[in-house]
Amino acid sequence: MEKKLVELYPWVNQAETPIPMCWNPKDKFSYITLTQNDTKILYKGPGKSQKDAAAVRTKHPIPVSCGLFYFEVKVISKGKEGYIGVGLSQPDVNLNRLPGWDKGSFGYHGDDGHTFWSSGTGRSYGPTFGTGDVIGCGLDLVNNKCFYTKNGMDLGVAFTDLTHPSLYPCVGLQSTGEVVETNFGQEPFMFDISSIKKELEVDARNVIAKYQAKLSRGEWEQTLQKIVLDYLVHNGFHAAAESFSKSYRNTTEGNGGVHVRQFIEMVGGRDSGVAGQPEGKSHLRPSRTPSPRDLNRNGSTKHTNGILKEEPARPNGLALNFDSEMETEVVLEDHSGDCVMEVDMPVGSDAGTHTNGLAVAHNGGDVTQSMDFDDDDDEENKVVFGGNPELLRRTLDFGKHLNEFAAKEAFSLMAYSDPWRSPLAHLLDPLQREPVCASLNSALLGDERQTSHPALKVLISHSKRLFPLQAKRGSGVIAFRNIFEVLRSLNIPDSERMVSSCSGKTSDSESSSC
Amino acid sequence: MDAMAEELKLTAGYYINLSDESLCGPLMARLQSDREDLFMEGIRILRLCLTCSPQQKMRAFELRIPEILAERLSSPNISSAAVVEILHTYSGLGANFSYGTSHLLFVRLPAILLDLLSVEEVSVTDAALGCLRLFIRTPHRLAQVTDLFKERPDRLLRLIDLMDASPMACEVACEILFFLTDQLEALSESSLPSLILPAVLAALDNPRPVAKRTSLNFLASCCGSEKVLALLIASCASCKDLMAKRLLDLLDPAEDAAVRILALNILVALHKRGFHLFDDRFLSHTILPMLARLCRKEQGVDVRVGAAEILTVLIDDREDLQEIASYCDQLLVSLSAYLRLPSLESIQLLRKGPKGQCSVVMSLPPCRVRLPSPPVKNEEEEKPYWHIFKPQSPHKRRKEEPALIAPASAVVQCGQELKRSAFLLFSALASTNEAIRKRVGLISGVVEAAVTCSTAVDSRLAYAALRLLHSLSRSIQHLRTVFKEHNVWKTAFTLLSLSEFGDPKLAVISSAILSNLSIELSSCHTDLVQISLWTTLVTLLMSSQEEVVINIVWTLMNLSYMANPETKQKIEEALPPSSVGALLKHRNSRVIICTVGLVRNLLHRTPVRDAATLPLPANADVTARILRRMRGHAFPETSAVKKAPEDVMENTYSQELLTLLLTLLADSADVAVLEQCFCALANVAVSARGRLLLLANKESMDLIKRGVLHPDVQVAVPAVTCVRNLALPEEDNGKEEVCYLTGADRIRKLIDLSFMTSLTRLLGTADAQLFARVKEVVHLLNGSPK
Repeated sequence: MEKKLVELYPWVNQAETPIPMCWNPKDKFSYITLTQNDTKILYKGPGKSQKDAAAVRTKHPIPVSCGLFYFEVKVISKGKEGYIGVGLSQPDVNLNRLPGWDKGSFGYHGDDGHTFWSSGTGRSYGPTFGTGDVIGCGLDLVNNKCFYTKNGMDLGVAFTDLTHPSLYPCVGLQSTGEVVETNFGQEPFMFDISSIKKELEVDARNVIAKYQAKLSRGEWEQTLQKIVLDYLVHNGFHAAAESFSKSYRNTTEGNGGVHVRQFIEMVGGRDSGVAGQPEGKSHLRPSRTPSPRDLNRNGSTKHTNGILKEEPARPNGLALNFDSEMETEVVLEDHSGDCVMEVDMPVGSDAGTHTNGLAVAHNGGDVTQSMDFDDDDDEENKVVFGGNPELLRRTLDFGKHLNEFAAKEAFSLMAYSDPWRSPLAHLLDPLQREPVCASLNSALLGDERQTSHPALKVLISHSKRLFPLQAKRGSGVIAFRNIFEVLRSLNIPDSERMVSSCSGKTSDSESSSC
Repeated sequence: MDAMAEELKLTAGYYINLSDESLCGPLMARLQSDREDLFMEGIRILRLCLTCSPQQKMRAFELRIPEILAERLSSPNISSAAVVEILHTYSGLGANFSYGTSHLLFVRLPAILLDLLSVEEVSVTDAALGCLRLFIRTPHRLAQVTDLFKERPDRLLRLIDLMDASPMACEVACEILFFLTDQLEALSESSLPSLILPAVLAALDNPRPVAKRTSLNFLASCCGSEKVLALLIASCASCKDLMAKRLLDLLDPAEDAAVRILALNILVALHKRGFHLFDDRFLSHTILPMLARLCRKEQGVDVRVGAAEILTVLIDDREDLQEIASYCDQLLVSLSAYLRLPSLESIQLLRKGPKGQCSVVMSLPPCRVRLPSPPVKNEEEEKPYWHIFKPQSPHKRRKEEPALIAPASAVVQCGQELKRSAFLLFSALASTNEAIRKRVGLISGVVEAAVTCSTAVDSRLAYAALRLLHSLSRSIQHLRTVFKEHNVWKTAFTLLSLSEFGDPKLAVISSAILSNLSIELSSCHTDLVQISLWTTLVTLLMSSQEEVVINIVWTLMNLSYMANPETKQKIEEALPPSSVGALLKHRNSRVIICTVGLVRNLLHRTPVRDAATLPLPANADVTARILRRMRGHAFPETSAVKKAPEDVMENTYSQELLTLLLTLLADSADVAVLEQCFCALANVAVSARGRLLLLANKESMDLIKRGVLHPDVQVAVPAVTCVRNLALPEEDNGKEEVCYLTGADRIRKLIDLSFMTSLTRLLGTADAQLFARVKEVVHLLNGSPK
């Protein structure tokens, strides 16, 4: 059952927005009796006039994150008159009426085949239905439309502009002997909703494609270019960044290009990766400044036959840089749905973790006191500060402005002649290198750019934070296109975690992170 | 030569005027040079200066450059690069230049190109195929290429081999195969058919939409020939499942809509041909809803038109699917939106607006003709492209369509295409089910649009509109108000009057509409009678189209049914016995049957309008008044009517009709004709004068006796009825016969003519109706009560 629901509605967080799975015994008119786990409805009223109509709603409203919600009602008996209405209703609509007769409710009636919307006068819509017929009602939350099916046949759009955030499935009966049974997805549907889902996927894509940013075309492209460049710079893909910067010289000059050089100079003292190398040979050189990931357990870069191997550009490689969560706060501005995000910069939990303060040499051998930042020349590292007092001064100035605890501690390592024996030696533990280096990297870049995280990462974090909000108040598009789906399509493990937590299958802590 | 410098030369300064002999000389020298580098330089400059210039191309032909290049091409030492350059130059010479394409045939280029297909290098084969496409896409030159393939089918084999090599090869191969569909049957003995289908199905998996479309076009073409289709599928048994899978994949909503339409077209065509890739439920629950969704207004014009056309074919002759379609995805609503596009008049009005801008154009779907453009077949081979679209073939339309239509005309054309397809689909939906017919007829604006478009200049649109009116006219009793409101009969009659100047198909359908409308006895009928249609109708009886004649006779038959004497008199005046005689000798038996039906109605006794003579309920004054009023409404009294003779057979015209009937009865062996004849005679036998005429004529009585003993009950029943009418003692209205034979005389006469013996033999019949009728007559002849 749970599995079926996850298949039907993969992006619904059941803990926060449960899927309607049965009728609500507390939200029905007295003439209605519920049986079979509250899925079968029997009319027990006098059934003489319209005043005897009775309706029932589900326990929960339809979550937006369903994208497409669908349920089927099988008419076990059409009773005396077959006055059966299937539809949707807002929570405050009178239940002594058939769906569609009052404002806020929508219904398709079996006796005349008409649809009703806030009115007692229907509109010709489909065929009549009675005993043995299976009537399906679908809510398309991408286009905010409602459609019906009869015996597996799509009858087309019945209602449009259904933007109310809390719509409940609803069934109304009016004459003696009427009995219906409901399938909310427990059993396979008679109608093939996969075809509609496929169409909605295309619609969702079109909604995104048609989105008009409030920027001119040039500005929009520049923004995207900046995001890409920013990501490359942050992660040390300096050659790629330079190359990218060159290809968009007109738009990026003075921004990304400067950062690349500044970054490299600050760390290595000179732009060895770009300036000192003829272009034709660049493929033999590492195309990126060694990031913390390039450091092996001995603290040196990976070498194979003297040449640093270039990591293949693959999605998984990129994904690794997104795995730490940022603390972002989403603040709603008025009720327009537009959001403003305030980003708090400390790197996630991994970065702030402390060990017991003891340095552990994993290889058990000699440990060098200097770290290799350059590609192939150890000699150059020895003169990083000694040979250049100006650089030392600048570095110390920089250290004064460090905010992050981890970065401050890491910076303090420079004060020790033998950092391996210092109280902060634990930071040199291979396990700690990555977070420390990431923190330092962020600090270095943040000093120049007022932010220590790549914009792409910020955007992803923002999107993740927005997801639950959109799931409650946004558009059904998120059921077909969302950040987790994108990350999953890139085989990023993080998305898997989010998916499962969104489906309410993991621990509380994970759920809360969603 | 340095590559950079060469490029600079080509792009910056070496555009030469071929008419300038001083510049042309060095170029020609290079083209004829034995040195490869010089030749390459020359041909690149040549390609540059031929670009988009018909004058330059013409000059190139004058300079016999194609011949020089052909000679070079035949050289054994030529490099692949040079071959490619030459082929590209040929393509340039022929592109958008019909003179060029035809002149290139003189150097036997197609044959050279086909020979080059055997080369292994993809760049060469691609260039050859690109050049070959020039000829394929020129209808008048197409035969030159197809003939070469017919001569040597092994070339096709090579072409199919190449389909894997490049997308270009795939597209060109499918285009060529499309034109060779008819020839494939002749290749059943070779291994070719077993190779074609897998290759084409592989092309369906090609990411390029063009490759998909061309291969789908070929498959659609195959669907046109049952034998070819059977051959292809039989030659590759495993392909059926693969084809189903490929076509199913192409139905994905993410696919290009034009590709989806083509795939759906093939699926429907295959189904109609009896090749069921999927079961019936898939057809009704997947294909049909998909097509209905593609009819929605948010789709492009071409997609909507295509979807409606395919749906029309799908639901044709399938009442179950018609019913499903009528409710599926609000199809009727979607279709009614097809009719709302602006008309030509409104466009013209908009153009005359203050700013001279046509605002409608902006709100319409893109006007670019985006239909999957199939290759155009030779003019002589008028084989439709989408064979399954019975009502018309889009083939011709597409041939005539420009690539981009000017906005205003595009709007009109889009509107007309939408309307045409909507009318056809509405017509198919309303063809059998009366409830659907009523729903369609009552959709606001549908009948009005059909009436308006039935007089459109575009005969295809007019025909589609008339087809819808024809479908709806079958339920005239439910839609009489709508029909009267929009004067449908006037439109049909006007079109019929003008039919000799227009499309013959329009005459047939207009006459069919008129025929259906003439069934209605109320206001429609009266209106039809009031407009002086008789002369026109009788003129149309001379039409060379049998369908028109049948429909007109049918119309007359309907009009004469239970008609008042005035109407009958009009018909008699317009239709002399000689004309009736001619119709009774018509080569088409249906015309004869309808004519006898007309005669039967004309010989039917005129209803009595005198209220005093009608049997009234006892002491029912109010009822009598109502009855009188009703009868008065149905048959408005006129002086002519009052004076009309009560016995129809007193009329000379009727007596001449009787003679014609008896002649036909003697000559015909057709059961349906005989049945109608005996029915007519039974009507004659109701009249006192008619009885006298029949009983006095031994030959006619022999014919009746022969009818009584006819082995077919269908004939025997009316013949026995005729005897019954002859034996009836008195008139229905209770008046005693005074002028003619008495009842007893007639019975005696019948017994003398041994009718009793014949009838007694029929008492053993198994048919209940005949038995009852015979029993009644036997009682009459015996003089006992019923």
